[in-house]
Formats: sequence, C-alpha cells, structure tokens
Amino acid sequence: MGTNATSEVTQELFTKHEVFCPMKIKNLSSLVIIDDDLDLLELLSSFFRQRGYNVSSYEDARVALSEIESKKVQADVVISDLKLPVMSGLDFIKRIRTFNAVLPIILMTAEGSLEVAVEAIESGAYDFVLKPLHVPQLLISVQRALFLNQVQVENTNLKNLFNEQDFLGLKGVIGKSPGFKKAMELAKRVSSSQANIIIFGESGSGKEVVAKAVHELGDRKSGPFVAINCSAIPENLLESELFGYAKGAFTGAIGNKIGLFEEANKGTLFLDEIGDLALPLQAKLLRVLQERKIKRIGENQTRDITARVICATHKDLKKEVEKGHFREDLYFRLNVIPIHMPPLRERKEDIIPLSEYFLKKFSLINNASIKGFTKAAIKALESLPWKGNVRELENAIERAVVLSNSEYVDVEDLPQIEQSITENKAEHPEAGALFSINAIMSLEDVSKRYIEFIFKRNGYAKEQTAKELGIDRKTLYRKLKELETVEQLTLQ
Amino acid sequence: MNMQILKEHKVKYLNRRIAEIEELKKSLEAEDFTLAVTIGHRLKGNGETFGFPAISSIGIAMEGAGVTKDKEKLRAIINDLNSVVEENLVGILNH
Repeated sequence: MGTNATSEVTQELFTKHEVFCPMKIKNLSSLVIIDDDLDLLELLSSFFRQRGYNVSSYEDARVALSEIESKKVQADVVISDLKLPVMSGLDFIKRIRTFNAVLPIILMTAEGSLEVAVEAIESGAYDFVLKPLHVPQLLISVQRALFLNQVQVENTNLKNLFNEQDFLGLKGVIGKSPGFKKAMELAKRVSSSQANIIIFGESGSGKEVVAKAVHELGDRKSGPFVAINCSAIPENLLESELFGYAKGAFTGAIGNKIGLFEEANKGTLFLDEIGDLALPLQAKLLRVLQERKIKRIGENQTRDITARVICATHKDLKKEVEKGHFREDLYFRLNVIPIHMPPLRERKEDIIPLSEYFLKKFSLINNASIKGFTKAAIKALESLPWKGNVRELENAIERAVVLSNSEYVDVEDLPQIEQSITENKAEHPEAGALFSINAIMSLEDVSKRYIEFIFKRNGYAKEQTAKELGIDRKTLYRKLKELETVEQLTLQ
Repeated sequence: MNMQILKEHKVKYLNRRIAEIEELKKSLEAEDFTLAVTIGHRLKGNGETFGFPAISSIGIAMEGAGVTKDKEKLRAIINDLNSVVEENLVGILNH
C-alpha cells in the first residue's frame, strides 16, 4: 500500500511559483507517485495534496503496478522515477500498457540524455522531466496529462454513447414511435433504389436524419453526404453553390469552383427546404434530375453527375403548386417516394429516449455529472407541444444540463414549461388556471378540473356542458357523480 | 531553487543526509561502492530541488567515484558532503 507521506511532513508553503492553468480538469484528480527517494516522494506528495490532488505514493513500482491493476488505487496520472530498484520506470510503463493503453505516465530522471528521453517517450511515457526537479514545471505537465486523460475518457464515453444508440444499425438514430419507425423503415427499403425521394416534415423533426439513413443504408454510403439548406442562401449564390462556376464567369470568380452536385459525386446531395427554391432554379434542378448532367456557370461543357438527390421540405408542395410557387413537373419528378416524418408531438414515445440521449451527450460534452430527470420533468417533457420538434428538445436539454444545479434535471430547468403555459394562457386565458408550473397533474385531475371548468363556465347547464365536452348528458352526469363534483358545484 | 520550501522540510532533508554519511563511511571501509553510487545518484536528483545545489554537485561526483571505485576520492567527497550539510544545517537553525 502507498505510504502516507504528508502525515510526516510539516505544513509547507509553495506560494512562490503558482501556476495558472486554463485547462478545465476535474476536481480531486488521482495521482500515483513512485520514487525510491523518500525525500522527493514526501515533497511531491505534499505539494500535490495541498493543491487538492488525491495522492498515493510508492517506493516500489511493483506494488504501485499491482494496486493500479487491481483497481485498489485510482490513477488519473502517474509520476514515476526512471531509475528504480527491482522494476525500472520503463518496465513499469511496459507492464501498465498491457492493461491500460491511455494512462498518462510522467517519468523523472537525473539521467539527462536525449537517448533516455526518446526511449522513455517511445515506451509510452507521456512526458519526461529532469532532476533536479522544477516542481512548477512538473505541475504543468501533470495538468496537461490530466487534461489529455479527461479528453480520452470523454472521447471513449462519447464513442460508446453513439455506438449504444442503434436503429436499423444506424448510430445516433433514436426513436421507437410507430411514426418514426414507419419513416425509417421506408427509408431503408428505398435506400438501394435509384428513385427520387422527398421527405416531408416540420422544421426540426429530423428530415436530415432520414436522408442520412437513406445514404448510410444504401450502396452510396462510402461516398460523401452533402447537405444544403436552400432557404438559407440567396438565389444567385445558391446557383453557384449547386452548380459551381468557371473562372471569369462573373465578377469575383477568380478561379474554378466545383458545385455541390459534383462534390456529392458517388454520394448523396440533400437539398433541404426545396419548397423555398426560386422558380428559375427549380427549372434548372428539374433539368439536372432529368438529364443527370450539369454545366458550371460560365462553362459550356456538360458534366455527368452520379450523386443521388434527396429533397426535403416543411411545406405542402401540392398547395405550393396550386399557388404557382412550385413547378408541377418538378413536384411530380421529386414525389416518387414521399417519406413523412411526423412532428415530435405526434410521436410522444420518442421524447424520453431522445431526451435521455441528449442528456448523456451534453453531460459528457459539458463534463456535467447529471444522472437523469426527475419524475416531474419527465411528465413535463412528455406533455409539452415541442413546436420546434427534436431541435427544440435538444436545445432545451442542452440548456438544462448546463444550468442544472443538481444531479437530476427538474421542471424549473426546462424554460419551455413556463413558455408553454404563458402561450397557453395567452391563447386560452380562461384555461390558464387549470395548469401550474410546479404541479404536473395526473390525467384524472386534469379531466376533473376541465369538467368543473366547462360546467362552471356554462352556468351549470348540463346540456350545454355535455355538448361542449363532446359527450352525452348521461355520460356527463355519471362523470360529475364519479368526480363528486355535482353536490359541491350545484350548491355554489 | 524553484519554489519556497519551509525550514522544517529542509532540516529533515539535511538530517537524513547525516544518517547517510555514517552509512557511506561504513560501506567505504568495507570497500562496498554500491551505496555510494545509489546515494550519489539520488543526491544528484534531489539536492537542488530542496535548495542545495552544492549537494547535487557532490552527488554527481559521488556517483562517478562510486562507479570507478575510487576510495580516496570518495572519502574526500563524503567529507565535503559532511561539511556542506553541517554548514547548511547550522545556517538554517541560526537563521
């Protein structure tokens, strides 16, 4: 077991060379220090303990190795002397690497030759410091090693997270609602075909996820997936983005530029918000889809394109055609296989799996130790309308993870709750009183309160109340009786 | 010196050297040079860290003399170490 060096050491001050480290490293990082020089072992243990590190110190590398391997001791970074009796620092690194490929090890030595330094680094040491020690320099090395260790751990966790989530063998594709499954299964079926696909869905509902699924599941997955939002770019720029241009085609065209159709060769070009495409560009797109050839702006030469084109829109293209905003021939050309991605409010079953996924993702990214949601938060998440769909949910969870002060995200961490109630009150001021931010009611309670509310509003007229509630008088009477409200209400 | 180390820590370091000097003398008489190599190497690494660059220099010389098994040189080096340790100890305690 490691020696408790600081218990013997009188309190000391290391104030002369404090080191500023901008890197965010977790508190209570664990250091293992190995040196047969008891003086240095005590000095370093004391130095790092005073800075909040959890230090385990050893004079024998074999004991340290055994305790790290058996996880008796936690090690985020190891500082070891190179020249040790029985097991050298280099042998220690070789043995550690058989079960831990990433643990940063800093070697210290009084042998200051370049050959020794190179050998140490080649053996897997993270850094190499010379004795006599410049302790602040060692501190910087430890902080950097911890930062590296943390990044490596986070990277592994993120990889595991993305590998965990699996739908149709696709990473990061989450959903279990019938609407989502239907869309994704259709995406799978059409992925190998050459037919044109158009994806319909509200903004933020996951149209690009479907497009990527088509790309990943088809035979073009080794090619590029290139996405562009047609509504985000002005018409003239969009044309040059899509088709590219030749040098001198217009003022500012100082060189040749390939367009996205060419960039997506042997892959997929995803044209999002195609309903916002200007009519002249619609004509050009139709021509490309028919002929599978493009001409760069300012060039006469035609070029074959092999990219599969997938389009998406939040608009009702049929109505856009009727209004004259969208070309009918292009609509028919695109609408070979329509895929509909339902809005999040119509696939409530996906809200919690998505929320949990985003919670894990943002906890890892923000180094937050948030374990989950409170029951009230889960109820709230399921009850919200999510007008901005998955994108809004993702942003809400990110915000909650960043701002939450506890291990579990609670209702007050979700500003959408308050916003939703405010909007609801604005639209239906009389119904606002039915809901409260802090008390998410059961369905039975909501039903009771709602019947009471309508009954009261209609002056306790059963006929009118039943009509408004969409139930017959008999059912209303039974419900009022069940809810034990008749007596109370008619007495009022 | 690269950081401030308190007096008690330095005194503890120097007292450990006094104990080592006795061991070094005994091993030298027994013509065992391994201890001189080990301690010389260690002093080379820790002397300056504790604020005693002269001890690091002595460590370098001691390790070299231990490797070449130069008994006379080692005897002189041990005496030098003794002087440096005593001087520093007196200096610290009287400060």
